Amino acid sequence: MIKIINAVLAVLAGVGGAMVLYFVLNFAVERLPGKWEHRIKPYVFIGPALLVIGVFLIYPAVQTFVYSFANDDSTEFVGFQNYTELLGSEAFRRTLLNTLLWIIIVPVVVVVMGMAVAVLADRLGARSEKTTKTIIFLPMAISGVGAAAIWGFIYASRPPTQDQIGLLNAVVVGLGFDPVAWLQIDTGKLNSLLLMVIMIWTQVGFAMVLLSAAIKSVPEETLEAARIDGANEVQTFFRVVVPQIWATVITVFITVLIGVMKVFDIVYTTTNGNFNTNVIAVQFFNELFTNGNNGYAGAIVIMLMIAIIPVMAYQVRHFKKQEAAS
Amino acid sequence: MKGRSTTKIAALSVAALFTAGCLSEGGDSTNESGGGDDTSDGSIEIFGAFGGGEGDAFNDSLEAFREESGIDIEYVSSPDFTNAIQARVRGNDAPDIAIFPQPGLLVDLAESGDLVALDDVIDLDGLKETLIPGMVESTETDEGSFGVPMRMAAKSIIWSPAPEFEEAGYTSPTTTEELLSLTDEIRDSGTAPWCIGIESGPATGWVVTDWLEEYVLRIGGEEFYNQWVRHEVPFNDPIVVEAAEQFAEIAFTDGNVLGGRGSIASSNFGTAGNGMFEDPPQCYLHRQANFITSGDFFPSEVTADLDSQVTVSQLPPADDAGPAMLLGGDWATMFDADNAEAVQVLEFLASDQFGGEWAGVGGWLSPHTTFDASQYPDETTRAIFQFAVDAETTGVDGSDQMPGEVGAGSFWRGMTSWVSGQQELEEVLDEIEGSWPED
Repeated sequence: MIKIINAVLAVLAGVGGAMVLYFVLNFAVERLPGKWEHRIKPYVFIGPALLVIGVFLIYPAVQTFVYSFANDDSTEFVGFQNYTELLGSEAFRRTLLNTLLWIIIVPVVVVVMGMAVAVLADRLGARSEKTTKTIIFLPMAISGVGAAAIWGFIYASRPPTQDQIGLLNAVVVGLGFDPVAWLQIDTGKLNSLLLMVIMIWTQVGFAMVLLSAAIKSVPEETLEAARIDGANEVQTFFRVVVPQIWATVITVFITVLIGVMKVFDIVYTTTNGNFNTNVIAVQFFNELFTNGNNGYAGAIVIMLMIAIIPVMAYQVRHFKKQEAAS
Repeated sequence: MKGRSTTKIAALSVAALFTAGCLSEGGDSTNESGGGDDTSDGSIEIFGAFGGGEGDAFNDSLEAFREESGIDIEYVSSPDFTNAIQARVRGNDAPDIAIFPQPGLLVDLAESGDLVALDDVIDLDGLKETLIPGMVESTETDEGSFGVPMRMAAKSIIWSPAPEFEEAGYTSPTTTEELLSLTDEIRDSGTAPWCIGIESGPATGWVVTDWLEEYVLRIGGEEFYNQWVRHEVPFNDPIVVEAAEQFAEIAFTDGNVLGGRGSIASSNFGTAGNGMFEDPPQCYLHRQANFITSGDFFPSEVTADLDSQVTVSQLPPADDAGPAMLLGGDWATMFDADNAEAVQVLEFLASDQFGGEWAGVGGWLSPHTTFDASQYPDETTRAIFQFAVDAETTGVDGSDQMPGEVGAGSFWRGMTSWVSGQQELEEVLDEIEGSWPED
């Protein structure tokens, strides 16, 4: 109870303190001579925000960068050793390959499926469209861990003589075959693909909502014009609709892509990277918390950061272009 | 006019500074007074990993001591104990007493100087006389011993379904030879002899590490086992290879395990053995620690009537050696040697007087050979306790003692990869050896 009161007091005092701080700073700046007031005022207001971002985002990022060149308990510099050792290890290269597959497959499938649902639902009556979209959107509300638990019951496998609680194996056994330990089969990356299905399941709803809104905002006249010119439905879709919603497609693609690069919960809760399903974020967690190796963990995060930078840069440029256009 | 506004600014600035100062000081002072309360009003905080029913049983076991000593003991638990205790220690918010579910992390904290060596604080030699050997030793560093056992788990237990096991004419094996011939006999009768499952979410693999440790302890002996755990011999020593091959002979021979080798990694450790309780039994042998009878692992019809539903035996020793027992447990430790009340509580937790109430609930074994066994709820538990007391060779769970990157990392992972057939044994053992931290 005391802890709760303390927390409430801390929040009140913190917010109040910040208000008083701004009030006082503002008051002080307003006393300055006119020219100086205008020069300094913006910094007074933006300064604290920059400070917070600096302390909680930039400083840790720099620290991580530095630690990635140090040993496991960050007491001694080891140069590029962490990077060379990681990239030289077979297990880490397999992890990179898996992550790459996630990056290539998941965003594309999510966008394509989201688009398909959006287009098809658009052709339904108002009520069935709403119902369909709600159902497909529902998994969005489920956390990665929850989704992994649900799909765990679909992929579950038990010894042949016992009742199968897994949906897939119930079907397989019902057809007269032996149950399959789905998440252990890495032939053709089957187990990784099955885990990707979980991510896709949770993300399609998100893609659908944004793309559906974009499709609905495509002006009816452009579609009519295309149809009058003799274009069939497929041509209309790819030549008229898609170019007009392309900006949204890119936004959805990149948002999902960044999410996929960081994917952790699904893999951690289902296999913890065993059976050759490891991905980079799980490896980072294991290095930091299981192995206590700050150096490896730092190096992994820096590599991930470097890989994300081009994507972010592209998105920022894309946004700017869009803003300039509108 | 100008003068007045200057004073206003000054006053406001002071107020602001004061507020800012108050904030940080306010935080500090509440923390300090909180800490002060803990020691001054006779309140001791115990922090541990087990909650729910186990937490209640623990509290019940403390009730009599609370009244007698007048010490107010508060038990706080976190399922994320391993991370939480490190965060609290680093944040200068250590509890008075912490109960660790494995010695590895305790030793880590001891080596970084966060714990108090107990040698001069409580009578360790007196405790060792009645403790099962190895329990205190697993918390030793060069500086002394840092933990005392509060609970023991006996791992080398083979469970069989009763009365079907006897009705089929089988007898509990007392040597590895007999174990293997019993395995063959059951297999030839058309039933899989063993149920083995190692799936445990992110912790998948620990059951195989137990199996390997069982045979390292049996084949290599106690001294070799402890050297191996402390990495004084290479992880991939030939004896370890031999131990692994012994497990492989049991688990990988066609027809020996329900579902075959492929189902070992996908069957959950907690429910894998339930094939034994089907009619007719799907398997007759299941090796798991005594905890398997608490919680929701065995079917409730079985746990409600344990003595007539299961037969227990001990995983037999190698060749002509005496009986061996692999142990696990919980270890209590403290952070401040001057806290007299915490010492008192710790002494009680470590004594053979602690735990009668918990023993009655089940799922708890005392690490003391002198514990009054009549307090256990059934004959099965008494038999298991007796196995531990009578064991000539004992070893504390090795993966629990090894550094985290091995014990909860490459060892689990490597064994899983071997069992599921993704890597060969030699490759796995070499990789684990390579993953051992250098210092």
